[in-house]
Amino acid sequence: MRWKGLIFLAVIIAIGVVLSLFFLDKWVESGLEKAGSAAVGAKVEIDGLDLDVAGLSIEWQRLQVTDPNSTMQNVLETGRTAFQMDVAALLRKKTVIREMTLADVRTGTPRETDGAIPKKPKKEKKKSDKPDVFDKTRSKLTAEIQNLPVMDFDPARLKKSLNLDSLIVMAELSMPQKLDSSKADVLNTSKSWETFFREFQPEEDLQKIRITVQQINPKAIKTIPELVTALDKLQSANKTLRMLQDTVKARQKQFKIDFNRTGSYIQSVDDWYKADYANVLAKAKLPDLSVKNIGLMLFGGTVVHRVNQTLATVQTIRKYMPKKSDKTEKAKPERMKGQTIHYANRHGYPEFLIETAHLSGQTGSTDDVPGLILQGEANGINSQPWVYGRPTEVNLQGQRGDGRSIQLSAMLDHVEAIAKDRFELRMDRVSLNNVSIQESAYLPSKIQKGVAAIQAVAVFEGDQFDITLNVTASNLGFDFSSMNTSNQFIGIVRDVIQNLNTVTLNVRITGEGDDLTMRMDSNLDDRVSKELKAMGSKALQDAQNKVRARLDQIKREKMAEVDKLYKEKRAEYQKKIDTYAEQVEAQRVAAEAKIDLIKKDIDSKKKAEENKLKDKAGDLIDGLF
Amino acid sequence: MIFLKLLSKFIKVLRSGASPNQIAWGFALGTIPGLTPLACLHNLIVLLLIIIFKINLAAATMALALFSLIAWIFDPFFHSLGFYILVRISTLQGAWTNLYNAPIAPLSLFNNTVVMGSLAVALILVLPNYFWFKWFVRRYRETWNAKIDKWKIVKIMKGSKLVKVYTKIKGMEA
Repeated sequence: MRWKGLIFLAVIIAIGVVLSLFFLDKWVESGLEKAGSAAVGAKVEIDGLDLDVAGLSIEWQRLQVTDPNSTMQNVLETGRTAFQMDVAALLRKKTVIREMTLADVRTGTPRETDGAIPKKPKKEKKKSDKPDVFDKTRSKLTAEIQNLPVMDFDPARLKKSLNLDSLIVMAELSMPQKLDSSKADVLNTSKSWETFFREFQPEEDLQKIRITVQQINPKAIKTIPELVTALDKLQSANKTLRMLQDTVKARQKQFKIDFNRTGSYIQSVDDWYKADYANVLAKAKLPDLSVKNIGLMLFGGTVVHRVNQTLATVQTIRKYMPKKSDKTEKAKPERMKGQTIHYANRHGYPEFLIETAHLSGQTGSTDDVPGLILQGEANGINSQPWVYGRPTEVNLQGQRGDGRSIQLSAMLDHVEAIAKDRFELRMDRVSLNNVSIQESAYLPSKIQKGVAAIQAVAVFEGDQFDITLNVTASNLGFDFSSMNTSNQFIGIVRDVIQNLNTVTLNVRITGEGDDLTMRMDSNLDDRVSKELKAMGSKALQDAQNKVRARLDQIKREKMAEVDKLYKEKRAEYQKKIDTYAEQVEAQRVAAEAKIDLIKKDIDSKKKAEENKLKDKAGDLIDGLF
Repeated sequence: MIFLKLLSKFIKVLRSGASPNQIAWGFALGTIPGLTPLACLHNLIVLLLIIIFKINLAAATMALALFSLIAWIFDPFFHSLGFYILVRISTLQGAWTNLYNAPIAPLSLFNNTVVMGSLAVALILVLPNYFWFKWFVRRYRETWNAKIDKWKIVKIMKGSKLVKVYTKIKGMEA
């Protein structure tokens, strides 16, 4: 026994315990702050942390999580937070919190100091990190909004200048190029047919066959061997005729293919024309006055931004609350990390669990603007839902005397192999004063005033989702003064909003991955479209007619060449191939008629010979007896 | 320099009066933290064993350093072996499930494939390492020590100015 060593170890442990008594709170606080800051990418600060090792409870008075995108405000701030860990679970390497209190939770609170931290170089995304269904949905939604037509409408500018020549150069028209390609294809096809007709010369063969057929006169042939020789000649000629007929038929088929293809170009011209027309209109920034998706154009950016945020949240939730997996599959873990294998859990402890969290907070970011007082509960927040066996539920509500209310509920059911999530938000008489809106080219970035009723339901089942959002906003006020005044579309939107008491927006987005259906209906659609038509239809009509006239001219010139060539060649080759077909058929009929006659002659002559032989045989037998 | 220091200490240990048993147990037990991830509960037990019993610490440290250097090469093998032991051997499933649900045991990270695979290899190597190293220490002391001292390279190195200066400085430091 090494006593010195044991004493040394005991002393070390004793010093550790004493130091922990004095400094453990600070160490844990600092450790949590560092880990949190590294995860968030901005300062995470904890004040007044108190760790009770014996009771396994932690409490802090304030937590501030800096918004990494705006480091002078917190993305989350909490007041007193307290929780106690389950000892039995902790001894089994599970973090189980039976009850947690999170008081005075707020978002967007201002910070006294800058919460920025030196940025670390971003880790390169691993090749294995393939975009999942949520990434695809977000990309698709963003693309849908980016691809909306641009409404920059100024009738005066339209009247003044519409330089068609430069527009046509800019638009890189596809119709003339495609018509040139069509012409080239017709010419190439013609060349191959010319070659065929040069090489295919059936006249000589047909002439020989004609002579052979004419020369053979079955009535003049007396003997069976002569008839057989004539039959062989006719059958050989018939074989040649069948070969010629097969060739002609194959070429007739090829003719159909070739000239249907080249003919299809002419039928496609209208589509090319339409595409070029739309392209020139886009380059000229000529709006489509029959535009239906006004709601999508006005509010699409903001809605998609919010939906993308929701999708990112669900994606994160699903990462930390994975669905049930049936079998333990061998993974390829990071080097020296290994794979953790889980077995049947007899105690029902997930790796991490907050059984009940009592939440309270408010929507206002400061005490001056307190907003709605919220309170509620979150039950069953855990990292292994199939072990816990119950879905996670969150319910928050708040109400004020003036009728304002908010209700948020979420149900995250990841117990089975198909995860089901449902989020519901209902807000009544919500103030829209100074609310920021995003990515709308036709509305200012902030709503000055207004109230709204919002109802949103998002349901996710496996990879499928269904999001509905209904907004009814009234008394809306925007400050359009900073917007582009030459764009009269903005002016129309402003007038319509000012003259409407209520603006409604009904959104429904459904789908799976990049297979999406998005609808945004607004009561602005018809009004704005009507105003737009009333104001700009004449100027726009003139401009559009100019574009059409130029395109018509290009179409006429190019089309005439292609059409003429196509029709000429088609008629010429059709005539030739049909003539060959008729000639071959006529000879074949004549040859087959003679073949039939000779066959009949041979049969009758055979029978006559047989009868003769029978008679002779009868005479011989009679002579014997 | 740390490695040289460790090597010199190790050679000193080989030449010291410590028993071959103590040195061999040190080397054998040092294999365990050397091959397995260091921050595991079983390594605390190994450390306690080394401290409680008169096991040579320098030999254990040498083995720890030596096996730590090569352990990463075998990491994929440890992962596969660990997965086989933890998942594929059906007769052990009951034991692992019991251990998984028992207190303290999950803290040992036994259900991690690399920990299990490397620990299995380390435990298999403990006894062979013990016997092999015991033989090595005896052989070194009986035969190789004198022979190595006679090696030209050793003489040259011992006689070189550089080594003398180094030894002198080391002496001054002490």
